[in-house]
Amino acid sequence: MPGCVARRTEQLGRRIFSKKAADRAYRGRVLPKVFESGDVLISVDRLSTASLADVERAARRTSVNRPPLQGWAVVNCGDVRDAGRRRVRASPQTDNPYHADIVLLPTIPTTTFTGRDLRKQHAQELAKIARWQPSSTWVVPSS
Amino acid sequence: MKTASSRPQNIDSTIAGSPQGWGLQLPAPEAKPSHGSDFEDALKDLEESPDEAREEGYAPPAELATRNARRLLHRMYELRPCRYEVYPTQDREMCIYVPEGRRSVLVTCDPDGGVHCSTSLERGHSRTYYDRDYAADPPPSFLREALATLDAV
Repeated sequence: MPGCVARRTEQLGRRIFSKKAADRAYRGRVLPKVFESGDVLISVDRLSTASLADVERAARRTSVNRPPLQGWAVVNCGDVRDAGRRRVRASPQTDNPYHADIVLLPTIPTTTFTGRDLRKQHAQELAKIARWQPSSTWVVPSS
Repeated sequence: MKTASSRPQNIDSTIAGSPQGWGLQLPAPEAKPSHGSDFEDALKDLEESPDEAREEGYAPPAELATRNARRLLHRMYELRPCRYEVYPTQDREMCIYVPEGRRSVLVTCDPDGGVHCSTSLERGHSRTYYDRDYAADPPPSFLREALATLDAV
């Protein structure tokens, strides 16, 4: 059911399809661009609401035109909602019941600080608190 | 003649992007070849950025953005030797990113030659912008102050 995700400890995963971005996340360096979105909604999977295998199957079903799923950049729901500037909304889809959106709450842009800048700021904040969760097919980089 | 509009615009500041140190010149980056493997890795990322953009389905990064990123990467490494993540974005920008715990610095070189420096702390965020007149040779304080926040107690 759509609605706010209430549990602070719930794990939210932003999909990573780029091998290079995945390798960086494995090194503890989740890039801000992983959380960038052209919108005020950042699409994520609710990793702790089912087995990882089930969530992964749904993720692959709904990203057939993308490169292979490498894994997720994972953030805690409670940290995402930090300072009341974001909220998390469950938004189940037909093929993915584990889907949710991080909603960037409205902030008034200024002439020098646009909505795009604000989205980038959110992405940077989320990246620094994210950790890596590999998919079942991800391979540890050789070097 | 540089105009006032070329000066850094400090936005939502928790850290002043002060113009102190303007006019100081760091040695030409190319004159210091003794950078470590972290630097070489970051430089390799920069060289491979067109491939990374292709992998992501992006247009290749702008040449001017790449050139500015290379210059700034040298300077940042001289100021704080560590591993920098260098990557392209879907907007043809080049980014240099360094996280440290719950703090991070993100330098974004845009396709038009401007440079944004975004510092994210435990609480608060600061952002400074240099337009194309300054981006190719920004004052050292611009980077020094941003990078210093990563190590501040």
